[in-house]
Amino acid sequence: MLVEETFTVAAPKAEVARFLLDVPRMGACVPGVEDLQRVDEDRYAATLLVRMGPIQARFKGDVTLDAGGAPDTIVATASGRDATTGSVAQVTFSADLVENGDGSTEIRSVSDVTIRGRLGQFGSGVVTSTAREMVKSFAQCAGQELGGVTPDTDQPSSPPGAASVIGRGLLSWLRDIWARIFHRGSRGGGK
Amino acid sequence: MIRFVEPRDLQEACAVLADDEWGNKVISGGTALVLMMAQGLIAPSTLVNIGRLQGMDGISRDDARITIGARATHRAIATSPEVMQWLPALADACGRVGNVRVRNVGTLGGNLAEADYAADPPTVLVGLDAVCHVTGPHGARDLPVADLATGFYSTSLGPGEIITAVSVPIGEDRVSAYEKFVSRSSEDRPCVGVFATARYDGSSIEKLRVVVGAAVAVPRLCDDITGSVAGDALEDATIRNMAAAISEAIDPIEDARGSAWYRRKVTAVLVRRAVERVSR
Amino acid sequence: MTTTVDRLPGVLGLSIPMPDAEERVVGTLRYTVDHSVEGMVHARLVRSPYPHARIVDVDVAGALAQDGVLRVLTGADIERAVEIPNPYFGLTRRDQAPLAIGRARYGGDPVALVIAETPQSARDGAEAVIVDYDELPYVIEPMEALAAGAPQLHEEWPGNECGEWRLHRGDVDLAMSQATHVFEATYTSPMANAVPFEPHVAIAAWEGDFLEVWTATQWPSAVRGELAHMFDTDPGNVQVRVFPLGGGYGAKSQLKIEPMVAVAAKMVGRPVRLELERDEVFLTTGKHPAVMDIRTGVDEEGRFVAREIDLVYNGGAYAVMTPKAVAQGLLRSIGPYRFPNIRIRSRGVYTNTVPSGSFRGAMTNQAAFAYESHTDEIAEGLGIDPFDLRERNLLQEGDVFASGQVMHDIHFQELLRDVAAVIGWGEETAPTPGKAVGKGIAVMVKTTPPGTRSEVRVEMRSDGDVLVHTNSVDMGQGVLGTLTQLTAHHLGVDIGKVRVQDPDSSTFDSMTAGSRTTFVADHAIGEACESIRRQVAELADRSDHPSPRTAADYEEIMLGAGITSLIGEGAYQSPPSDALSNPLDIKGEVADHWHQGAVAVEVAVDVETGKVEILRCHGAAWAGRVVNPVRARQQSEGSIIFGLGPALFEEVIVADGQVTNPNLSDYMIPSIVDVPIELTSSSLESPDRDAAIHGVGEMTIPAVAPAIANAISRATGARVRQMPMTSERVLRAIVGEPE
Repeated sequence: MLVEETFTVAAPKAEVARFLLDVPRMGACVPGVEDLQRVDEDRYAATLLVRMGPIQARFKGDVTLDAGGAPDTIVATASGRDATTGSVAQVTFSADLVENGDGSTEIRSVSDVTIRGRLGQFGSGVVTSTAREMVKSFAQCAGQELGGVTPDTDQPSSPPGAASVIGRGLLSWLRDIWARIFHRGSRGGGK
Repeated sequence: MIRFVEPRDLQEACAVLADDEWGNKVISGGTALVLMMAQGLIAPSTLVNIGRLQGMDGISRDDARITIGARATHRAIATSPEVMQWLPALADACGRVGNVRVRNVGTLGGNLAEADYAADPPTVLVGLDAVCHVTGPHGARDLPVADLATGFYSTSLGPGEIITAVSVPIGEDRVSAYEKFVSRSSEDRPCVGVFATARYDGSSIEKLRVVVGAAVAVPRLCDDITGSVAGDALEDATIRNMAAAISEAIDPIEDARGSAWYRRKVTAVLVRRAVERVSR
Repeated sequence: MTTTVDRLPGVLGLSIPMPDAEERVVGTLRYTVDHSVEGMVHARLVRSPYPHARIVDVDVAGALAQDGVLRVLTGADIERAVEIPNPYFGLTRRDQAPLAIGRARYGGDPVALVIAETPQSARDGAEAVIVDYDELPYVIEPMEALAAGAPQLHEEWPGNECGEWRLHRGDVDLAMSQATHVFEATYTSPMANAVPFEPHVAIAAWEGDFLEVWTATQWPSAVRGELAHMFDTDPGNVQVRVFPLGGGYGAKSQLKIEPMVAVAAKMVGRPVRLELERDEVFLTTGKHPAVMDIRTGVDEEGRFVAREIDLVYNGGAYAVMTPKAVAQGLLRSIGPYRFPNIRIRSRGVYTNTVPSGSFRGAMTNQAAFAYESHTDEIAEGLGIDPFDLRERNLLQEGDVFASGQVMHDIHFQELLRDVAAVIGWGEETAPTPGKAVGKGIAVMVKTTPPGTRSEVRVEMRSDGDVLVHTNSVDMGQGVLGTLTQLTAHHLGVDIGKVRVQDPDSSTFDSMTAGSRTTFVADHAIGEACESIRRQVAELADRSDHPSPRTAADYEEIMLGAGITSLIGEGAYQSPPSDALSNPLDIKGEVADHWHQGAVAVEVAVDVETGKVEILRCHGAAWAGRVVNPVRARQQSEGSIIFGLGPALFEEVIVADGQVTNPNLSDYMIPSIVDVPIELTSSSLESPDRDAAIHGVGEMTIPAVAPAIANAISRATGARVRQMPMTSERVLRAIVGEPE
């Protein structure tokens, strides 16, 4: 299923592209990434801890980067397997970068997510919602990393490292903390 | 091997749960939990059985509220004389959960904590300003049911927190109705659920409230649309416009029970029917 | 000297309870799932999550390291094993291996098998198996699979062809050009699952070269034959034992998990048990998804002058029965009508999805939905009452079927009139506030395949007990009771003396399926009992005993002659036919006898939501002679309920190449609350006391869905051409909003 999210970061296109191509840096912004290790030039091994409601899955696999279209388009393909359920997840994340006149860059992302096996039973609604939360969280973090965020997303998510679909109350609390630590603007409170 | 713990009191239960938020799970009726375990979707390391804890399954009433223990089964709630008399729409909703076997075992607390969007009681509870009473490692707190579910199968409960009871205000001159629509067999979870409640001042509606559930990720309170509706008699046109507006405003889910298009259509129909039922 | 023992009057036609009725209700009846064998270990399958992938490597180290895990088998192991000379099995094409060899062909295809001391360790082991797949392009839709450039499932069957059959009669093109009106439509059915309560379960044990298998199967003889072939041994070395089934409905036909346990037991040297989880049952078999294009030319009087049918069946990843089943699909797509000119093409196609197999009402449900919906669409188009249109065209005694076979013992008009009368066809329906109400009818015919065989051995003992050996399987249809009643009837003994034995391999039965058992058993048992009566008469002769008149005389005669047991054997072999010898030109005798049924239904449709409520439903089946009235009713009513599910709710949903609802929360079978309170049935009988006994196991299923579709159309004007007719599909048809 396709999850489309567009967001803007306060950095020029070249810098954004460099960020996206820097897997360790970019990976640190993906909620739930564990054990990221380089395997060869464009390939990294990683484990992704994903929580969808009460279900927790650890997808162990790899990520491959396609820098051929940089700095206009960056594509990352990831696939991994969750041992507990025997499910496999495949994600193709493509980002089209569009430079705005004012030194900011719009990132139009499309994530093509396929989950096969037992977790595929869980329903596209839940999977899409989880994927969307993860992209939003990534967007938030990428924005912070690249110098201030004005996301088009309306619901900024948790800081990286906690890949859960976190509750609203907890969410606002965490967002406030994050904002206070980094003294950066964040979208006003409210749901 | 799964560890099965039977805590002596709530404090112990909360402590065990808080110990491993993801591996330790509460088991109450077990209808949702065991199903997910059987399907191989979750693999808890510890099950915390709260079945022996005293005082969590009663239903009581005072002048202002009815309090339902979190371990009360749907069937107990549906057949409770107090609930049937004072909160008939809640009795109705609980009486339509799943099938009779599920209702005999599944509990209200479990239903709320699971936060499955395709459920009946939460839609009604949100509309009735119900409050969840929660106990956790750091003590007790209350939160409105409307603030409990935050997304698919996600709640704002913190680590180690357990819902102990739900209380619902009573005493106002109110007429309420719950409309449940299943698109497939009678045991299917709801495709759309709509709760309507009208608070009366004499023969005039003072406040009308509509909640849409099951068609959306969390129950959608539609005060923003119904807030201005009041008066002696609701005209057909008013009701239809409101139903159409609500149908447009929701963000419906697509699943095996129905597409987004279909859910919008059915929502409009159910809103109209529910509101008609509460208009005297 | 003729035997003169009177048959006990009236054993047939009595509603005698099943011999094991109490055990069934109380829960003490043992099913295969309850059985265990000393020293047995447990298996669990690892399944491919990909719809199509090359199996590059299977890493079993982690699995073997788990406590209790004894062995892990892969397709590669099976391919190499000298103990398994012929790893591929299948009753039409041997294209399936117990574990996928080389590549996985559908999401759910078993690729490895873990054997462990306990079910839990087997499960833990399965989780630890890591398979390295190389994903391949996949195809789910049959038309795409048939197109050039599509991913190929099996090298030996290019183009993903899985059977093609044709039939033609007369000159369809000419007749169509001369027809007054031509109607055309396409009807579709998805895969459905029979959801037997008891899942597939089997235990295999080897004793030297002798293999014993206990399995929940409807086709024990076929299982025996294929396992013998797999291990290159004589069928005499394979014993297949069956307990009563906790439901079959076609899901336990052919071979399912038997090859896996047999192979596992062979390789590990201990008895191995495998029981499938519910989601695995969904991934093992299902009803063929089908698309039927149908075109009909009619004259001014509404007589069918020409018909053209194109049928495409999705066979899934392995052939199972598809190449032959689509021939039955062709024959069962014709319906109970006269067509002087007709042309049909029926094709099966391989795709990367769950292998299709038998399903109660086999290859008839999809077709009857199409042709009986179509009949009403024609009636609507011509402004003729659907009842009258049917009367005008239904086949009658002596008419010629589309294959050229002259039809006998057919009673379609009687069935139509029966259901129409019960539902009050033509009477004003009382309006229901807020709902549109309507009635619908449908009639169906199903061929019974020629060339099947059933053997029976009856043993009469001098103490009065009678033992019956067959390989018919009791799957809740009460075959035990039926065979008991038939034997008591034919032998003239008291019913309490008859004991039907559990199926074992000592007799042959093609299959317990296709509603054939009662019909063939009547013949076979009759023959066996006739043989015993003749033997008794000879004994009486020799000892100058007066001719035996009652069952008590038997015992006396036998004891007098010093004989403790007499054996009679009987068999029924339905005459084989060469009608199917040329797949592209089916011609001749295609049915041993005809299964006939009709359904009428009254529905109330909520036109704002599309929700359909069945107010009343009546089904009629041609029984010929009823063996047990209560059981016949139970079968007919049970069939209707079984048909309600796929008509309104049941659909195996495939997305991204995998089944997304392999569980009973998302795949909805009817509950008792969905069954109309007014659910009735008729079992129509012949006045001739020696008329053939027809099986009634499936007769009222196929007509349920089209009757409902027709009722919905008459109530709302909206036509749904896709099963299941969910509320959403009905609403879309009402408001004209396509999917």
